[in-house]
Amino acid sequence: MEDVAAVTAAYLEDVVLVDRCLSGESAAARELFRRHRGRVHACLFRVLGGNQDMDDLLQEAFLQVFQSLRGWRAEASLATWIDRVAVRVAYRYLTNRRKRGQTLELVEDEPVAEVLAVTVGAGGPGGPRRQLARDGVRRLYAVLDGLSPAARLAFTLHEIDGRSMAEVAEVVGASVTATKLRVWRARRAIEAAAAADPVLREFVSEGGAP
Amino acid sequence: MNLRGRIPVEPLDEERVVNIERRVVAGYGDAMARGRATSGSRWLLPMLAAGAAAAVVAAVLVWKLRPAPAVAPQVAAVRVEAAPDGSRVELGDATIAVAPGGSFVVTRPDGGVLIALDRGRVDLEVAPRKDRAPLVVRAGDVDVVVVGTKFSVEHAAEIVVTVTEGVVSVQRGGDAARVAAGQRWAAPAQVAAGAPMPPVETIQVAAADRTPDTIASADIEMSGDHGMPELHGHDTVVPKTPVAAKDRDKRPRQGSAGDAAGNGSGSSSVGSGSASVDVITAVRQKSVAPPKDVGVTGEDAVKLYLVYLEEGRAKEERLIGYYGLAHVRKAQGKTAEALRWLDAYITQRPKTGPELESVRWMQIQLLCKHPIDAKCREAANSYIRAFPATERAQLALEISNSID
Repeated sequence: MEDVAAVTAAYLEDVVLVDRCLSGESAAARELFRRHRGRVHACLFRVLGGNQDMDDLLQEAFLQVFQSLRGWRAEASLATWIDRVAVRVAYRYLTNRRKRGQTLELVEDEPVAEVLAVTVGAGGPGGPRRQLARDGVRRLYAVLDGLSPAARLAFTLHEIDGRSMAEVAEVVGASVTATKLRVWRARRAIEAAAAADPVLREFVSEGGAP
Repeated sequence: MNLRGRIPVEPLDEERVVNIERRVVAGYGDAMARGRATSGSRWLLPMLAAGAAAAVVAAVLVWKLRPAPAVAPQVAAVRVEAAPDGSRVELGDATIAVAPGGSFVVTRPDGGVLIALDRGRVDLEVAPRKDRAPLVVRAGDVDVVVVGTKFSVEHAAEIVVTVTEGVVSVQRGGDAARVAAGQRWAAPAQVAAGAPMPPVETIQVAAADRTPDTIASADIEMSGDHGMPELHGHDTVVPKTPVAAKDRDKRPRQGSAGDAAGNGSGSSSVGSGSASVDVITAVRQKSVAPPKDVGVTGEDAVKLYLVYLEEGRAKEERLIGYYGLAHVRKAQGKTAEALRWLDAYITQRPKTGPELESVRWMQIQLLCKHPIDAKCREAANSYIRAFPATERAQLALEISNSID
């Protein structure tokens, strides 16, 4: 069971930390970045499917956080609030990229292969399952590239990042019904693509079991 | 389709993280500055034209739609005895000159102002009563209902109402007579039941005649020029009905800085240029319900109040925690954090109670400063909506109506 007192203390620390940031303490800004960077990075990674442009996105997300920090009220947890800001940054990024007609590519020199090998489990480096996983991820995000940014956000935050529908709705600032609809549309698009793509079909139907 | 946990995050290498952190910390100051500017100059120019028009509309709407407190605070009666050379009493938007020998009692029935003239003559100059607390001068069984005017009432063997500007309504028994500027109404003080109202007589009245030449300052204040003014009794008149200490403590202190220091002798300054300063001072001087006593103070108290917030605790216990934390942080001058604990308290949707009233009041205390801004006004409006019948609603109303 999670240490409740520790959770409460962390919450209080966030409150105090925000006040220190607002009073102009750059050490507090650094602390806030370090405390929330990992989660924000994970969130952005799962939405975008890679670390391309991640440096700029993380920087933009945290500068947006500081710019809006006065608006944070304690009724929402600081983490959720920061995630909301980060998701907004991701949304803008996806929208702009869509306008430019660009797609994200999983480049060979990123350590995707090693990560997927750990995840998929079977097969050594360069083995068939590792290759399948890498191809599956690439094809999945290729399908997501064709979705609206809102649908992509809803799907990735729910299906990949593992957040509940209510949580996703709160983070993206939409109703739960709208969020469910977006996730459903994304699933339908992926299933349609998977019907014609055996690699993607195998990847999404694996159910996570290696 | 189950993708959870199947696309793990590729970590960023240490060098990239350090670079991002450096850029974030370097830009932090500018970002904070932009955040501050967002609500101010950044949008000022584009919104100036629209804002000017909106302000006019909003001012009209706020004035028309402002909530009217439902119940008048119970304030003890104050008796005024004129000084040997006459007295002058300021009652918010009413000025009363009391001729030598005159005596009256001021009370606040049903949110209005009742000046019961025992004897002598009073000359009044009263702002129009539209949308303001009704003001009635009572002489024996005659009520003079003020609409907004300059007039005098004399109570001796005969009751005489003389109007120099505006109009009053003189009421006796079930009858009423309208007395306008340049007219006088007079009738014996004692009349048989059912006697007809005397006719209104038109006379020549010189405005300069209405006020005694020599009047002393009688320091009775009635704060608030809208809605429900309250009485402030001091020493220069003879309050034959003493005001209980507890009632005295409840009164908002809205006079000058000198008043706040306890040597008050001026009249009400509400409506003057320093009104918001005075009202805010009064707001801050009001006490709020104490939090649950945990036997310690400062950071030790914070730790104990946090225990009340632990998961699984009942809502009532969480309320104790939030309220206690807000108190501690407020006392420490940590305003932003105190406000967050108050917000957290309110999000628990507690039913009404003394603590909730205090929470709303603390929000006003923490948010309001001179000049009064939108957040302060919003807090005041929230208080009025939740607690329209409290004595403090008057102060909140003054903040809400402030034009700083």
